[in-house]
Amino acid sequence: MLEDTKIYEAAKYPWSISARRLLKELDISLKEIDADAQALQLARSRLLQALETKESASPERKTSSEFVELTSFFVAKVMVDAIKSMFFRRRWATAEAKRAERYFFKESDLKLAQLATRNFNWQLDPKPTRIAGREFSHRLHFANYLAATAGFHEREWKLVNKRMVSGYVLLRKGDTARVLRAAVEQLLISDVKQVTPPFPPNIQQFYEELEVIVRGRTERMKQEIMGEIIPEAFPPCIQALLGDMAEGKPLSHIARFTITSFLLNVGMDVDSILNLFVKAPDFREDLARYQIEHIAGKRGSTEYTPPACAYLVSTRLCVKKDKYCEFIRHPLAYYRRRRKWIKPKSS
Amino acid sequence: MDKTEEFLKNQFAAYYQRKHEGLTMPPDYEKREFAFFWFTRRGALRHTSFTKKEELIQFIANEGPAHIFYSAAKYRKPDAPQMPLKEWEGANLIFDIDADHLILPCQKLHDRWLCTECSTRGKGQRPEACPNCGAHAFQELKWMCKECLDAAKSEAIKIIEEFLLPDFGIVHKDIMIVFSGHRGYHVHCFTEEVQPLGSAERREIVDYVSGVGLDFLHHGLVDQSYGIPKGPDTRTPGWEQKIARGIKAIFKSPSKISEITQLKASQKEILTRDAASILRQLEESPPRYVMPKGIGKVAWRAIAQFAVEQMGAKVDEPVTTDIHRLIRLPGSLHGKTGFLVKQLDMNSLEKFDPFSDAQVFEGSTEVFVKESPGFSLGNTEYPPMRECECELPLSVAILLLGKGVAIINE
Ligand code: SF4
Ligand SMILES: [Zn+2]
Ligand SMILES: [Zn+2]
Repeated sequence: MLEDTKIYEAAKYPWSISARRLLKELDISLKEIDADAQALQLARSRLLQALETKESASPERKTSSEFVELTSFFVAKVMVDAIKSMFFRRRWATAEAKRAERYFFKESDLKLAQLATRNFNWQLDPKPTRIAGREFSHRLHFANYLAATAGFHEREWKLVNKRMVSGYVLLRKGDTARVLRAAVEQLLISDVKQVTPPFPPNIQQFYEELEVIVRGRTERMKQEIMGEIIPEAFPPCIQALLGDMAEGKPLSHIARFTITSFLLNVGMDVDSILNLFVKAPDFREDLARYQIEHIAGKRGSTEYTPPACAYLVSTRLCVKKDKYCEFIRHPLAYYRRRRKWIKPKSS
Repeated sequence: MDKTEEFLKNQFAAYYQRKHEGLTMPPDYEKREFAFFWFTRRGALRHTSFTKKEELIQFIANEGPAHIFYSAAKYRKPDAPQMPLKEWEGANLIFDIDADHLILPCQKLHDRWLCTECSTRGKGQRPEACPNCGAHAFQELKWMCKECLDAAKSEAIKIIEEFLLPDFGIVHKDIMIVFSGHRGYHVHCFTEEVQPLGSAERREIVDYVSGVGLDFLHHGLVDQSYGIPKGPDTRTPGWEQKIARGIKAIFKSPSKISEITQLKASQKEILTRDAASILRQLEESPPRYVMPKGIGKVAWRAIAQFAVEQMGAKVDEPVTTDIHRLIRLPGSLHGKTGFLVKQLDMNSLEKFDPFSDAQVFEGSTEVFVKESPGFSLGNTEYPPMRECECELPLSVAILLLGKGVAIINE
């Protein structure tokens, strides 16, 4: 009986610490899941629907048992980790977080607070308060609130439009669920595991199929974003670094700084760059994002430019120097010159 | 080497040799970047770190830097040469309140500018562009007086008493107040919870304390198509209470009504005439927002907006949102004034007078004053001076030398 409620909870919140502990206890291997057609089927629909609509296809317990639900999340996450597409990971995280939010609405105030404290280390208390005719159910420390809502754009989420007392933002139940959803999303985006194929046969087949679908989607996205960027005009040093990244080779700090600042300067956005880094063996989304955003500076005004050729020569990042390099002293200068020549006539 | 710069450097070095108890090392100072600016050299020394306070003291006692900064941020590698390599670990929350960002009548009396293109001169804050030639390059002389420093002080008190303590729940012991050594104050918060906040999150905090983006709908001001508008109540916490107090303050001193630019002249007249009776109704509990005829919703919003502007604190936004910010080390000297960058608490802040309490130099020296405005220092009034070779108290001499309006003759 106890096991049942445990599994029930874990199926609802499969990203939670207790769900992860349970999975460990149950000690299920990918091999076992490979034989479970139901779990694989559910994982597939969860992922595909996330990719298309940012909604989770997880059924409200109609066809599948809680156990299948839990393992389907597990295998879906393995797929997301293995495919290493930031775009895909985001969509999946959004979908799963939205699914969690639906359950949050139904929880008691106390339960919500416990979830937040255990999983996100938040200072969230159930605290029924009535101010100016409005009912508030919780209070959340402003620092937790700000970190969770950093991506919210609507005016009503601005801190200045919240009621704040002694360091705590007062929240209504719906707000609490919404803010928690954002935390779940951030958690799923940043929790990246190094996973590499091959997998057991059925999962392997699933993986290969999925990879094709995701690559197709991301290519389409990339082409839209990269429209004006002309990679053929990148200097040899940058091409070499891109090649290393594609192969998943570890890059030094200087190399990462060089490639990031270069790509930002030619107009690539943070997410697309992040996508290039996903393959790095030591990839951590939060750190990488932080570093890229820092180099990007605030509000798109790129703060840093890549080092000049002289410095790249001395740090051995200048490789396969070509004839165009004779005329320039900076990788960005190389790009600007070459681009003029290569630029397609159509535009 | 320039004699003036040499003199200042030696005076600062000598000061640090004899007195350094006041130097306050920030918490976890080994993880912070220190930076120094010089009298005798251009540029700055950045990306340095210290593992012992004595090392820092010895260094500054030798070098006599003009300005000493440390990073609000903590880093795993504070001495790495470029930001992305330092590995950021969190940062204190800081606010900079500077008379530069306040528009004050006294600035007309003591601030000057000079167009470097056409030599047009003017008083007060420099214009966006030169009125004579349209150039954007100016030389400025910014001075400070009791009035502007008091204005900065009351903004600092406002941030702490209206926002940090009640709304943000930050406790006294986590707040450090520092006189900047020039025209303002710094408020530092060492609270654990704020350390990891990023730039966007800190911008939200600035917006909160300055009332930017505030929407009345969320603070008790409800539009009603007819009848009595419901208004903010002083008994509810947060911004609603501040708006309510701000509105009352307007009707308490009706001369303020004329400052509300969005009101029509006729509306100002009505409101001034009825101020007393409006106030009486606002004092009721719950307050009654009964507006006289001719004061509609638009006017009402303008009044509330004015209240927000009055109650909001004026801080220099980039200082708070820059998570790599360098900020003056308490206990150091300000190279443009020779004033002590002094650590204060709420009690000492109220009484603090920079013109006597931040003075550290004794004795006198002879300098050549090119041109200086009148000012008072210690308990002495100094008249405007022009082209005079004079013997002055050392603290006055250093102020004039630091400001570049006096030199030591060769
Ligand atoms: S010379 Fe400059 S642009 Fe050319 S390969 Fe070397 S570093 Fe790159
Ligand atoms: Zn001019
Ligand atoms: Zn003044």
